Formats: sequence, C-alpha cells, structure tokens
Amino acid sequence: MKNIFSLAIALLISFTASAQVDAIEKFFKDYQEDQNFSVVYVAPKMFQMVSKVTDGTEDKELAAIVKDLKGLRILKTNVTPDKIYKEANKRLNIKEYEELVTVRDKDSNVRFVTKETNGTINELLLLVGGKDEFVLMSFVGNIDLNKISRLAKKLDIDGAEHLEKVNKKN
Amino acid sequence: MRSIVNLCLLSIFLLNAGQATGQKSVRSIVSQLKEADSYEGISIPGWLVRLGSSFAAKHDDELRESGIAELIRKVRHIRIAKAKVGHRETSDKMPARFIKSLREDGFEEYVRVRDEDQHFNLFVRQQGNQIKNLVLFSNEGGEMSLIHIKTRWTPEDLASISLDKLTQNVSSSGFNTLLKN
Repeated sequence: MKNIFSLAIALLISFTASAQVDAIEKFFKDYQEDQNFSVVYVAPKMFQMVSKVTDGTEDKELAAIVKDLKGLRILKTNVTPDKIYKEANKRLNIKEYEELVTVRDKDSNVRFVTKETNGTINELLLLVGGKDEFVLMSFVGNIDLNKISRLAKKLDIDGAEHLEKVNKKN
Repeated sequence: MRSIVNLCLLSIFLLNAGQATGQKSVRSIVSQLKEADSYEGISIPGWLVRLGSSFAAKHDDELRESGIAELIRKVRHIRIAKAKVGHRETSDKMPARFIKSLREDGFEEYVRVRDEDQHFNLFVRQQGNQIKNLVLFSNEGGEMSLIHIKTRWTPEDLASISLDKLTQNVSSSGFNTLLKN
C-alpha cells in the first residue's frame, strides 16, 4: 500500500512538472505563427550538435555554455505588450517558480524566475512586459546563471540584453 | 531464373525508394518555387562537388587549411533553389506549408528564427551520429531560398573546420544569422 502511495505521488509530481513545460510550449505554439511576434526556437538536438562541434574548437567559452543547455525559446512583440504580459503571467503559472530578479519601473516589468531540481536550475524564464515590448525567453537545461549572462553577449538577439541583469543582481 | 530477376528488380526498386526518402518534401517545395517567375535553381551531384573541391583545394590554401575541402568530400548532393514570390498573401502562407511538409517527411526542426517578414529554418535528418540531410530555408519579404544538402557529415567533421573561415565563405543571409557570433 505504501509503495502504491509513493508511486502515485511520484507520478503526480512528474505530471505537474510536465504540465508546466507544456504550458510554456502551448503558449509558444499559440503565438509562433502570429505575424506580430518575433520567434526564436533552438531545439535540444541543435544544442547537442553545437556542443559536439564546439567541443574540440578554440571557442571553449561557447562550448561550456551550450554543453548543458537543452532548449531555447524566445517570443517577442511590440503589439499590445501589456496585454500579452498579463496573459503570460496567468497562463504560465509563474507562482510555481522561484523569483530570482524583479526589476520594475514606470514603463516596464522584468522578471526572472527559475525552477530547480535537486539544487540545479533546470529552467530559467524571463518575462518582460511594458508599454513598448513583451519578451518571453525560456532556457531549459542545467543552467549556470553566470554562463547565461555571457551567452547574452554572444546571442545578439533582441531581448537577450535583459539577461545581463541576472549577473548584475548575483 | 524468373524469380531471381524479380528479386533483383524488387531490390533496385527498394534501394531507390530508400534514397528518395527525405527528398519528397524538398522536391515538392522546389516544384512550387519553380512556378514563380523569377526562379533560379541548381542541382549538383556529389561527384561534381567533390571534383570541384579537389581542384579548388589544390590552388586555394585557405580552402584546404580551413578544413572545408574535407567537409565537401562528404557531400553527396547539393540543391539550391531561389525564387521571388510576388503576392504577399501567397508568400506569407508558403513558408508554413513548406515547413509542414518537411516535418511530415521526417525532418526535425533544429532552428527557427522569424522576425517580421523574415524567416529562417534549419531542418535536419540524422541517422545516429551522421547528418544525412540538411535543409536551410529562408524567406525575406517573398524572396525564398532553399538549400538542401545530402551529406555524410558527423559533428566531429564540423568541429574540425574553422568556423571563422566558414562564415567568410558562406554568403546566404540566413546562414550568417545562425552562425553570428
């Protein structure tokens, strides 16, 4: 009986975790074909390939950063960003995450939230919402926050500049 | 005797069917691009690519030293297609249709970048550690480009080349976006 109960709890936890990743994926899928949104998606297999490719090259820094990443999604829009930000906060159940950094001014909100398992950050979510833009950035993998902020400099993608705030706060 | 002939014919058919896998979607996309007025395209068999590369490597130290010549030796086929699709409505819907057909044909999407009317997608078919098919598709305001490469590349082959040299040699804007560093 005890074993069945433990198994049920384990299954419930795994379903909940998968439901959250699914929530982000679903949100992303809802807007990825919307012409008002800019989209970046890098699949886990791409990170695996880049990790193998950069492993033996001079760019050790890039190799170290991508080695532990399993996925990247970015959504960005300048059309009704406030409304999309509120929707994202509601649909993505941000309360289940741990708040890492919050920066709030009159024009925008920037939130970094993370999810940990056994002391390792396995998901980093950035949400930016304001009058001018909405940005959602989701990293999945074994995440080192110092490496993520260095990745921001290499990415040269609109919205990635917010990642540098993570390092400043830490 | 007759059964041996039938068996041989069946084997030839199955071999060709195997080779066609992963090309059905690409052929379909190229056919649709050919319907545009300003279509340009080229299909280069692997032996010609290797021949050209061997010749060029003898006279170009940079090509040899960057490792690109070695990489080209593992190319089995290259197809490049480019067209300007005039009607905005068509050019908006076509990328989504192409992407859907590639997925249905067993290609996995590795990268997607979309910003306003610019798209870039990288699709790959891998078999174990080997990259068998690579498709780069880009669309900039109705100007669509497709590059399909059949290869025997492995990540180790790609690691052996100098990425700096590679970005100097590739002119496609979508590919530069991917490799921007």
